[in-house]
Amino acid sequence: MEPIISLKQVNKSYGTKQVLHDINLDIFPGQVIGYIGPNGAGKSTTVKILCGLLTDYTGQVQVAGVEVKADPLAVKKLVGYVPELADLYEVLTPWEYLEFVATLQGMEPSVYETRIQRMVEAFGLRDNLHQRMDSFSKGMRQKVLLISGILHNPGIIIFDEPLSGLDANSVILVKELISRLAREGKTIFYCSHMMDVVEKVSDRIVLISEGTVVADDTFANLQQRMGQQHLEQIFSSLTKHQQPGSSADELLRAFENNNAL
Amino acid sequence: MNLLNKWLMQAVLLPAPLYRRMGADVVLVKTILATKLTLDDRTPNTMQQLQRKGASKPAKAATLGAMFMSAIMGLLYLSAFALGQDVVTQLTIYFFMFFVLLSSMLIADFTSVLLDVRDNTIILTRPVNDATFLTARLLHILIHLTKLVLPMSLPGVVYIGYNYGVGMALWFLVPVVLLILFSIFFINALYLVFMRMVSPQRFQAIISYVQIGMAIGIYASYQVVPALMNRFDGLNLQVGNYWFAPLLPPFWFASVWQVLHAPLAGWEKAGLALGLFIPLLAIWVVVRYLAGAFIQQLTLSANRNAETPVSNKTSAGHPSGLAEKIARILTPQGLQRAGFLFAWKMSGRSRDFRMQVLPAIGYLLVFAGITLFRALSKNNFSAFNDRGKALVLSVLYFGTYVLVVALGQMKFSDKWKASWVFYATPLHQPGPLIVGGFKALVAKFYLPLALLIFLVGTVFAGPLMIPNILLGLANQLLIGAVLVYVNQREFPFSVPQQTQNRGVNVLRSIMVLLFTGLLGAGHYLLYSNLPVILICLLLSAAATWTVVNSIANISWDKIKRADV
Repeated sequence: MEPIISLKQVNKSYGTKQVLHDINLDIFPGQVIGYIGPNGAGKSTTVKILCGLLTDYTGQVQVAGVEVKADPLAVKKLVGYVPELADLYEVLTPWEYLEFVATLQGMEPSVYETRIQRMVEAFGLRDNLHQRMDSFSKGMRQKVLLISGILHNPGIIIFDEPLSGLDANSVILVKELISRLAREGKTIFYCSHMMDVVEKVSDRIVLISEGTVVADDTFANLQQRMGQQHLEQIFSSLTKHQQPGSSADELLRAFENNNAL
Repeated sequence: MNLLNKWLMQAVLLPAPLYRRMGADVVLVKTILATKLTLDDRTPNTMQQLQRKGASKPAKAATLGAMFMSAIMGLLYLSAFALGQDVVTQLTIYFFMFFVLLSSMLIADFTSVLLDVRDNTIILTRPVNDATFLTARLLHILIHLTKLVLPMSLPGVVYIGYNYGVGMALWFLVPVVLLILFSIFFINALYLVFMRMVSPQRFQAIISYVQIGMAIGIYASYQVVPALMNRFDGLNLQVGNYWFAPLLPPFWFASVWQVLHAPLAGWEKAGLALGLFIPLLAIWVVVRYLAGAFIQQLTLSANRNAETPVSNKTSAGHPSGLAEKIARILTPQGLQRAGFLFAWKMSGRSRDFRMQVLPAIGYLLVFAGITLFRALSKNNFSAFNDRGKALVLSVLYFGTYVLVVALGQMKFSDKWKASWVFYATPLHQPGPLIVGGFKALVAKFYLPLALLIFLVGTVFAGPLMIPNILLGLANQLLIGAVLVYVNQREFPFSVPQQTQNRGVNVLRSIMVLLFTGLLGAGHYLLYSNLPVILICLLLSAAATWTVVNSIANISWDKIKRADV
């Protein structure tokens, strides 16, 4: 099978600082990739390259056979991106915002109108459809962002911390949504720090640290290879050298000698 | 969308075939533009925020307020026609004011309205090509400009129409448009240069300093220009006669207008040529080169922020800078010192605070400088005649303004929600924290000025002035302390700026003014009576001490709980 996303020898620097070193990845249709790594590891940069936002990388990045650098617009049509919270025009209503996004995606009113209605209803936002989002809770805004990412029915969906601010029921809904989308053959690129969720939803885990891929396998294989039960532990042992002194031991040791207050 | 926006949008979309030829998707341009205009209209200005009762009530036509303000500014520019000997000189001054104020307004709007960084994730992740995005952005800027410039140029048009006829008034719009094009180029270039060197956040800080500088400059020019005008009255100042005139962009635009009014003289021909050529060249450079780089730079800077690791330059251990040193001198260890350091650092790093307090300091310096200059240029000046007394005291008591502004600003912050720490920690009494904040602001914004006034006053008026200066300074501290005691019922930096109640503010300012005036007047009467002044000084210092102690004793039941 041809990979739907393919990165070959990808390097990217900001000024003199290199954030991605020789990234090589092949992702196949229908896979759910859990893309994890410590802060500043290069996750957002990878995501921005895949969305066609950054084109000044070196190496090859192909999405559905299209080189991102050559035709970022074609790539943007294929990809749905759900950014981390807050990037919304809050003074618009969900309807206005989603209509705007749909138009940018080149959708016809006859298609997006019913789709927006249905999606908003599924997320329980029907009564808020024509209220301005500046009064919305974090979770409600996140739902609008989620809809805006999948509205155009993209083949590849990139989620960047999609669960932040959602309540328990919505978390269940989104997790369910991800596995349903994958079953329909969509490729999911899931970036998160919530290891327990990544562990459950992804069928392949890519761990990036200091701009390099340090692990790329199924969760079961990683468990076996590392001899550890949870993704959290695997993550920690693979990235520990990056954060010296962040152990709980050291934290507790700080109480020594002046236990009083 | 309101009617005005609708018309403007239709107007700017008239050359749609041209945009299409440039590679833009006109449907998308229209969509983006409509959304942006809706956003503009719903982003309320300060006045509307105050009037708004509930969030559900939409803010409408936020731009109308801004348009009204520009019309007022346009009236201000008319003062140019009172200066200068010929109409070209007057127009040069007019266009200079126009250019400076328009550019400064645009710089501020560029960062907040026109260059929304959210566009990076919302629009640029969608299949929208660069030409489309760029066209939408430029048209948005154009509409924004029109809304500013139309009311701004209206008084000028009316003035010209009244004095030179309707035809010349219409022709007047041509140099105005050229000036706008030139301003766009100027700001674009400025942005590009700065954004290459500093981050957008840093750039915004720089802009705020520029705005502060301009506010002070305008104040200074109102103080200085009338005096200068008297001095130059005999001169036949005609800007067109000087070789450097073609180096001044406002002169170009004045020459453009002049070409239909009278035969061009002196350097005006060069001005006309430059005025027609440079703006068109400039806008071509913007479209062709700058704008693309501009957007790329924006995307880049947004990304740079996302992935730049926090620098680990700071060393471990307790920092000991100037603030810590002064805190050790002025405050006992514990809560008061914590309050001192907190207020010192927050006041230095909060933009709102800077924007309020730095201009006040600037005004004071300008005022003191001019007063001193005037005093020294008069031969018979003495600090002990009536005129001298009034001058010295007015500088002294004007200083209260800085203190009042700084202390009045102490409770406000846009990060007010972080004040939950005050409620979540086992604080016995809020007083020490507030008094620490009071001392920090006094030390930071008032002591250096007081020292300066003290030194300059002593040098120019002799040591006999020292008791008077000290009394003035002690009285100011007293006013500041009373203000905090009466007014500060909140923790430092714990109240959102927009809840600031204008009515109460005005009332407070009047009270402070009355109180200051009363003390100043009393001081004026006692000025030459040294023993009485010394007694008053002791009384004032004792009163300040008592009030500061009372602030330190402010208890929980006096505190208005912030809604965190």
